Amino acid sequence: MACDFIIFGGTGQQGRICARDLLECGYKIVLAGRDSSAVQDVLKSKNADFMKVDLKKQEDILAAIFRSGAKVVVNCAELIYNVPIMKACIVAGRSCTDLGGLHDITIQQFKLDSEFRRKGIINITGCGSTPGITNVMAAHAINDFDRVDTIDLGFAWDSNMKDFVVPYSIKSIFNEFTTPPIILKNGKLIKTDRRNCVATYMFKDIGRQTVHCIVHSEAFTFAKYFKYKGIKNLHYMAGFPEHSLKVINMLMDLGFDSEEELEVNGVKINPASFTTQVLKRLGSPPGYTEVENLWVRMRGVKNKKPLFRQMDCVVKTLKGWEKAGSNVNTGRTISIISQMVFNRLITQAGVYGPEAVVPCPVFFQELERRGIHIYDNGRRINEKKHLLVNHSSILVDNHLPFS
Amino acid sequence: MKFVVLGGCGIIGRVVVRDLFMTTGDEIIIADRNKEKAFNYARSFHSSRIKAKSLDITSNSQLVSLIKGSDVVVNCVQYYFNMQIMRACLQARTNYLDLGGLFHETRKQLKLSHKFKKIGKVAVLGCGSTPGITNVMAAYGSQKLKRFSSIDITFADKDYTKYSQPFVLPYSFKTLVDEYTKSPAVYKNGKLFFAEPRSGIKMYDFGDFGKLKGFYSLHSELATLPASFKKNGLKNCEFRVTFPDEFNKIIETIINLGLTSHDEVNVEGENVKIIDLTSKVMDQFIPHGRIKDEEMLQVVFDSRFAMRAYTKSDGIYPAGVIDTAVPCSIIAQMIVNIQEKGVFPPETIINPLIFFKELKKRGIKVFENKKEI
Repeated sequence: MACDFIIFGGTGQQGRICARDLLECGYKIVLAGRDSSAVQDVLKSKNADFMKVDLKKQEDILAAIFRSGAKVVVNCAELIYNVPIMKACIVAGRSCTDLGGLHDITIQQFKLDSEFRRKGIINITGCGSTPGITNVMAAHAINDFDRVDTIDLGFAWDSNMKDFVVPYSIKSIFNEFTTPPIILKNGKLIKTDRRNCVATYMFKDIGRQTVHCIVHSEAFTFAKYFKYKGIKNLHYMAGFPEHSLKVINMLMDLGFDSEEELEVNGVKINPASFTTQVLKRLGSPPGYTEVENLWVRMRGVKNKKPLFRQMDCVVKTLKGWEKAGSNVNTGRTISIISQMVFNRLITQAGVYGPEAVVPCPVFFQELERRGIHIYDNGRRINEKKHLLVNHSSILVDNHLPFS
Repeated sequence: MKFVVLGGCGIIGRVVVRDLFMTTGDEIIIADRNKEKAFNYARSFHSSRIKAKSLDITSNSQLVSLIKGSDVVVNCVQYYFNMQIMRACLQARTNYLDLGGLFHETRKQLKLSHKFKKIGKVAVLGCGSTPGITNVMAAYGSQKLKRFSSIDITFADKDYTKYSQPFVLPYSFKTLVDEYTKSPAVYKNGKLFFAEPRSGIKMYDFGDFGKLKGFYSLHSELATLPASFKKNGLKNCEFRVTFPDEFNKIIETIINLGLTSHDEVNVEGENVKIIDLTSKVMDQFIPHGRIKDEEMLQVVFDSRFAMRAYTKSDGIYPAGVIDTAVPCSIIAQMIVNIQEKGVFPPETIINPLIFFKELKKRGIKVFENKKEI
């Protein structure tokens, strides 16, 4: 079948959210994954198909892209597959989007920039909530500064019940918690100690929460894109409610995050992958809701005067998307940016972070259509009346002007 | 005499072998699925009295041919295999003892009594610390008191070791999960029923051992004591495990996360039973270094008469391993002199005073109220 998008990691949580968003916008999609049992509800749509793919096999990735006929590749798989999928996209001549590669993999991804340029295709890396919305919020606010000294950004979240629900890919969380955070200090990217890189802030709709530095991709991409504004310092910080943090720390203390295989009944199993599969079965209790605050705090100078700017994105469990919790702002964001690529709203060739290429007003408008609110210094800016540009929707029925 | 210790280089089995070696002049066969480990352990004794044999416990023919000609089979493998091993003993015509069958297995095992009687052999069920020492202490108490209506059984551990690991597991994770998740049997007002897992919370003040919270847990004692002491007027019998609060929280979290399910999950193309992999991860926390700890087993009659057994680690093995393995070796040696034939729980067939004397020789002290026996 000729489809519009192929979604790698399409059977995972973010892949399923993205798939639903694309289907609701009228696109044809192929979900690529190992097991279709988790996506039977999505596959009821006549516009959705499934393709069995083993991402460990490079030839499988390439064959799936060709067989699907997809114009844009959406990568919602674990970050270790970012580079293999990008390499397949170069051969296939297809643009792609992904959810970010933390620090090291992001650097590897940017090394493929010249090949993407040569092929006239684009990879936008970090198209979820964060990296993703945070990057576009920073790009939106930075124009007001003559010079930016420090950017602190990250996320904080909480839930109405204190039961443990997997906040997002547990494998990503393990990675983020075990890899030493990288910060920008006096213009240089350096490793730091997570335990000593702590702050406590008040967060919108959450309250006071302590956040810790973790490794993320924004330190690298902000240093690259906002160098012209003189950025010197950056901290990426994650906030988890105590009940969730306790469980994550316990799993890590006990070795459920280990990548060292254990032999059970003659079969070798990776404990971290095992934990991921078991926790996928967990779900959330009835009536469970989440609220997430993505935040960017910028300090700098404008007209020789100090300037502070705070951008916030607040997302709550959305009606009809209850199972996704606050993860909607990741799966639906990659859907928005992928549609922008598909509809040639973004036309550059090369490898980019969203802060470099995603048009802010249209992007914020699309978030608003999905119930995701953006605040600039506490003032909501993506209510319809506040939108700077009354741009056409990028929904498929309206996308013809850009295709 | 010839003893076969199944699981003879496992956590408990290896201490049973050591005790049998040190206290008898008899032949001992270490049978274990891990051939290399079994041979190495046997070699470490530098004695022709100890031999190693590799064994796949799931193969009946292998098991029968291995135990044929032996006098006593000491079963130190997981209790799931108890019935299968007992049937092999019937075929091979040998005496048998084990570490317990977590209630349900024990009940099934007791039904083989007439068959053991028929071949003129003895099987004693639950010969470790608890069940085991607790049952014999109950027997001693029953002889002293004659009439009583309730028995409350529990145990506590006091660990002095300074660990460098983030968590310490006292014994096999699978056994622990069974204790936390299987519906516990409780005997109340003369009736046996199954309560909710981890219910029946009671605070114990163990003096030097601290104040610990206990909860009902499924144990073999409940499968035998109510019947054994019905004639003494026993109407209530409860068994509780006690753990520190922090430990409880961790185990409960692991259970609540679904990590102890018996379902299979597919991990990168391979199917694995969840509990199997979790046990593999958790069993890494069973300490292997030197442990300095002390364990107390307690049986209280009518809240007025208390039997307690104290065991200290010996610098090599923790107290909980010693007080499980030692009684097993003692009863293995007593079994051939038992005149009555059939399948028995320890409280009906083991002479408490002889048994306590043997325990004392090995450093396990038994107290009647506060007086050492």
